[in-house]
Amino acid sequence: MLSITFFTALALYLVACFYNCLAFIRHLESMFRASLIFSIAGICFHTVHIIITGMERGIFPLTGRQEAMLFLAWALALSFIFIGFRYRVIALGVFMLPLVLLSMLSSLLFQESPVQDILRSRLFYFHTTFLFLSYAAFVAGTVFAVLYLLQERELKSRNLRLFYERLPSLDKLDQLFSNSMLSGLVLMTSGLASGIYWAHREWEGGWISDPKVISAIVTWLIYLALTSIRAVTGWRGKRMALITLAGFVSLLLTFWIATLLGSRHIF
Amino acid sequence: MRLKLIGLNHKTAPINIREQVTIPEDLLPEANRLFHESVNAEETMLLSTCNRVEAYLYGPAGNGIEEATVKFLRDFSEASLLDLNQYIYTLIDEDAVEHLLRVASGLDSMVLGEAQITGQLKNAHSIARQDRTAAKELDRLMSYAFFTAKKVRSETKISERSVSVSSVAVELARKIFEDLTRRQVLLIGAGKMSRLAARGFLSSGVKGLRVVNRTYEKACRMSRELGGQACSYDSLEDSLVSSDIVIVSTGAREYVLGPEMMERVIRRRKNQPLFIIDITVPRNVDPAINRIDNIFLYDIDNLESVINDHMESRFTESRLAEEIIREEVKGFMDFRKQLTFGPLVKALRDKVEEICLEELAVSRKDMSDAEYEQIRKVMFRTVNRLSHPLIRQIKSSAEDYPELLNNQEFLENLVREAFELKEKE
Repeated sequence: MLSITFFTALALYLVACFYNCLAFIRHLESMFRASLIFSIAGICFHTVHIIITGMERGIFPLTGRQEAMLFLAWALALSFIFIGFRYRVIALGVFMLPLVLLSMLSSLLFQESPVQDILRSRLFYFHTTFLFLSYAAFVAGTVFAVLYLLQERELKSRNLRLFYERLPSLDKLDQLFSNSMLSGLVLMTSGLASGIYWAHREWEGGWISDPKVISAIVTWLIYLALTSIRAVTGWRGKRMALITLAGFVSLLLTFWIATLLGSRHIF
Repeated sequence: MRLKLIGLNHKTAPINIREQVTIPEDLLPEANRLFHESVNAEETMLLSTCNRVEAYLYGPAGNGIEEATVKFLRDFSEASLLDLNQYIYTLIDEDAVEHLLRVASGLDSMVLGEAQITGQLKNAHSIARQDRTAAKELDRLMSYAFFTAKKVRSETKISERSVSVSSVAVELARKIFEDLTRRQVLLIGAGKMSRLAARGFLSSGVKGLRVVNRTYEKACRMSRELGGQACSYDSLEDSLVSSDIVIVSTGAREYVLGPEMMERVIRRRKNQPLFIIDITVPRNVDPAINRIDNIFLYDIDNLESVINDHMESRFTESRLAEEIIREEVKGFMDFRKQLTFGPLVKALRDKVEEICLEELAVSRKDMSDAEYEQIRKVMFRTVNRLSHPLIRQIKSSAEDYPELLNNQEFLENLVREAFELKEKE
């Protein structure tokens, strides 16, 4: 589904990404504001594009890989804008906006998929939207874990050159990390719950052995463990980063690989 | 009339000279008054800090002011037997303006970009204004200097990064903890540097300060002095568990904090970060504990190297600041040129309009009011257009030939005599 709205959104995100990188390198708040404004303009066109596609096809436009990548980009952009507005972390966009662009561009690699009747369910809306938003939250959390490690390494080595000024304090990064992970977990729980309910109603038996379902539950367990361990032991920094990494790998497996192993999920 | 600056600073005079010449803060008003009486200048202002003593004067171009100033500085201070002339610099007009703007912006300071000097300059100016030794000219100059200082600080990063041990420590703590108001500081030992650092943290609003010393009485004394709470040395580990920032400076020759104890502390703290500053030589904290997760240990060398980095970046920023200053000096000089001819231009306008009214008055009877008003307007417009090239010529020759400004009186008299203008009051 190539259209003028798609390319306008893509171009706006590209400009936003450029400004964000400039803001990060030069340490300029004004450039960051520009980046946020362009991202908002971008997500407006992006939303319009999704709505138009949905209306044309007469279904929530998440019927295949192409639309999935596009929706993932939308969720990532949304989380960048939300966190950027609230917490003004310039460094987040340096990772998130390229991911938005990458995700949008990769949607060009896939063909439009046919509409399956089973998807004409209200539960489909909830199931996918919750899960995609949780992916975006987990990606943001992973970025914060990386930023924490970078800042921690610089403070520990007492060589304060690259990141010291450009990154927020360890405390703030830790807070953002745990907030993102927690909201990711809540969103994922809602997404999985609605999915299970839906499968229970319309999917005759065997849904539990679907590779994507197993993988998703493993991911969910990892993130559940991460949040609980944090609450109990107060772990932060390197130890948290390891679990975050495990969670992220599992997330990628769920999103990408599981469907290739003969899942009933189309994406 | 010209602007003059006579003085000495840390670049021209060594500390043993400066400490004799410097005027104590409480004597500055008196010194300022006496100085005004002892020199032949309309406006004067004295600035005295530990790094500079400078006199700003506005008065006739004649000489003798410099000698009088040096004599005053010698007589007023303990430097009566010194030959000050070799340390003194005298700057005139544009050079004086440039120097002042650099001083106000902290570019001429020993610690590049420090902000204290602006306050000291403001203080000196308000003293001079109170005693009316500074008036229109110096007021205008000073407000221009403060404006420039503000511009330099907002447009460059010259004062952004900390360059003292205590402010660097606070800055680092902010990079670990973000909000210091919820953080507890623990002071182990009683070194002078550590007291300074503790004060730095207290003034940035930490939650509280605890003091630990091998001798409990000393801890009590210190905590009273700084406004904290004394804790016994036996409960050191508990104090560490409940503190976030630790400043260590004891007289001990061995390590006070070691890895095993700190591992226990971090476990008991549930991995909450701990920022340890060791300001002693020889060191009191085992460097090995920096390897423990969530402990950030900085010794005096680490802090110094951060300061050096920050100094370097201030130096880079200073080039940008110098550019701003050059622009502002030019702006001020242009502004002043226009101002100096302002009264002359106005007098000229008034004079030609007066001539018009005189001529009109002769034939007033033959005209109706409406006619009179119309003719008056036409005449004013005509004479103003006629005198405009002359005014423009005066302004542009002042810009093209700056030396004309020095002969300003000659030029002014020429015009005034030609038009029989009254002398300005």
